[in-house]
Amino acid sequence: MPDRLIVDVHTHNGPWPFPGRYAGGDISLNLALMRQCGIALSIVSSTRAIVNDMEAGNAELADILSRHHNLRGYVVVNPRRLADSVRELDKYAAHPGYIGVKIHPSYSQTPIASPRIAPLIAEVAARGKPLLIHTFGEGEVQALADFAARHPALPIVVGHGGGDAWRPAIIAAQRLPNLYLEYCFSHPVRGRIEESVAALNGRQVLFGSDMTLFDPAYCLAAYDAAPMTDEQRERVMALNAIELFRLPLPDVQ
Amino acid sequence: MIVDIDTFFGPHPAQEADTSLETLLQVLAANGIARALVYFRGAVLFDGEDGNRTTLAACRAHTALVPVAVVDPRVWRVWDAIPRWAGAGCVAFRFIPQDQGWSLESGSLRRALAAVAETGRPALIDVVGPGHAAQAARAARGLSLSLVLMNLSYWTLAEALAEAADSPHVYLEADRVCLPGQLETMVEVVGAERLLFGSYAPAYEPAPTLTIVGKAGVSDEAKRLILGGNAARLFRLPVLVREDGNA
Repeated sequence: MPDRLIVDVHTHNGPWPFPGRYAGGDISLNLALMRQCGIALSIVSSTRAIVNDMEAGNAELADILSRHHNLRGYVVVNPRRLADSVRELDKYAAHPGYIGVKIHPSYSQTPIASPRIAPLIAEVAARGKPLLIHTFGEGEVQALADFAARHPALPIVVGHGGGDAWRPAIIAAQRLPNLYLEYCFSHPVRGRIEESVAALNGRQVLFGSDMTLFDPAYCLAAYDAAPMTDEQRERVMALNAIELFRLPLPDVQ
Repeated sequence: MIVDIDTFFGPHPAQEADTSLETLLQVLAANGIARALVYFRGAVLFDGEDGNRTTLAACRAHTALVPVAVVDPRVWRVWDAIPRWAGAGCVAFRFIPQDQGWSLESGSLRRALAAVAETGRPALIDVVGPGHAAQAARAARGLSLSLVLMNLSYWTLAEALAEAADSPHVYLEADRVCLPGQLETMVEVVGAERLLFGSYAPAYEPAPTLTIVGKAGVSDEAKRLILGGNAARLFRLPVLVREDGNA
C-alpha cells in the first residue's frame, strides 16, 4: 500500500509539441509518471480529441481505458459540434472507463459564456456524469458559476481553479456545492490551494496535475507545500474525487 | 547554497497576493533559499529611480537579498543611470517589457544593454511571448554581455533553448520547470553551467521547481550549479558562511 492515496482528476494522453520527453504520447508515460508520484488512479482525456479530432481521440482512449484498471476517462466534447458531441456522449455512456466529460473552451475557441456552450452543458447535465472544464479568468468563472446554479445536480470541476481568477472561483464554490476546484497550472501561485482548502474545509478541492503535459511531481509539490490538516489533505488528494466520481475503493488500491 | 535569481517585493494593482518584503523573506527561509536576487516592484510599475533605491535599502537590511536594478527603456536616456546603479552595488540589471509596454526591438533597449555591458554585469530580460527570446538575443548581439532569458514559458521554451544553444553568452532561468524531462533536456542542450534557478517568489511557490531539480536525472554537480553555483559565479556573490562554519 502507498503511504497515501492520490487520485489525479486532470490528466491527458497524447504527444505535446514542447521540449519535454513525451515518449511519443504513449500511455506508458502516463503510467510511469503515476508510478513515480504514487498516483493510484488518474482520469484522462485524449489530447487528440481536444486539439484535433474529437471522435478519433475518444475512440483511442476508450481502447486504452479498457486495458488499464488504474485509468478512467473523460469523453471530450466540442461546443461547436453539438450533434456530434451528443453522439459521443451516447456512444460511451455504457463504457465503464468513461466516468466524466471534458470541454476545452480555448482549443475550440468558444468562451464559456458563448451561446454554443449552454445546450451542450444541458446535454451533459442530462446524462449525470461530472464535467471538467478548462476555466481561465473572471468572466469564465462567472459564466461557469451561472451554469452550476442552473444545473445543481451536475458536478462541475473548474479546471486550473479559474487561473488568475482563483479567488472568484473559491467564492463561487462557497455558494455552489456542485463546483469543484483543481489547481494544475504551470504558474504555481502561492496561497490559492491553502485558501481554497480553508474556505471549503477541504471539500470541493481536488488534486489535478495536467499530466502528461506537466510532470505531476511539479503540481504535487505545490499541493504538498500548502498547509492543511491531515484530514483535509486526505480529502483533497483522493477522497473527494472518489466520492465525486463514485470510484470503488478497491480499484484505486 | 540555493540562490534564487528571480524574486521581488511590493504590490501590483491587479494582483491580490501578499507580496510584501516580510512575506518574501518567509518564503525564502521556508524553502532553504540562502540568497535571492531581488527588485522592488515599484521600480517596474511606478518610479525606477525611487524603486531601485528601495531595493538597495531592503538589501542593506537583509543579507539574504542581493539588489537588482530595474531598467525602464521608456525613460529617455535611462542608460545614463546604469553606471550609477552598478556603483551602488546592483549585481545585475532587469528588463521587464511586458509590464512596461516597450518593444524588445527598440533602440532604447539596445542603448541600455550597451551601457549594462560596460559595467561588466549581466542583463536579465523577460521573454514571455513568441519571438521574444530571439529579439532579446538580437538586441545583445555584438556586446560583451551575459544575457539571462527570464520568465520562460513551456510554450516558447524551444525558442529560448535555440538562442542559448547558439550563443555562449545566453543563460536561461530554470523557472516553472514543469514538463516531463524538461530539466534533462535543458541540461543536454545548454549545459548545466548556463541554467539558473529562479522562482518569482513571493507570488509563486518555489517548491515545485526545487522538487523537480532535486529529482531530475542529471548529476549532483549539475544540480549544485543550477541551484546556486552558477549564480554565485555569474553575479559574483560573496560566499555566505553558516554558523557551522561551512559555506
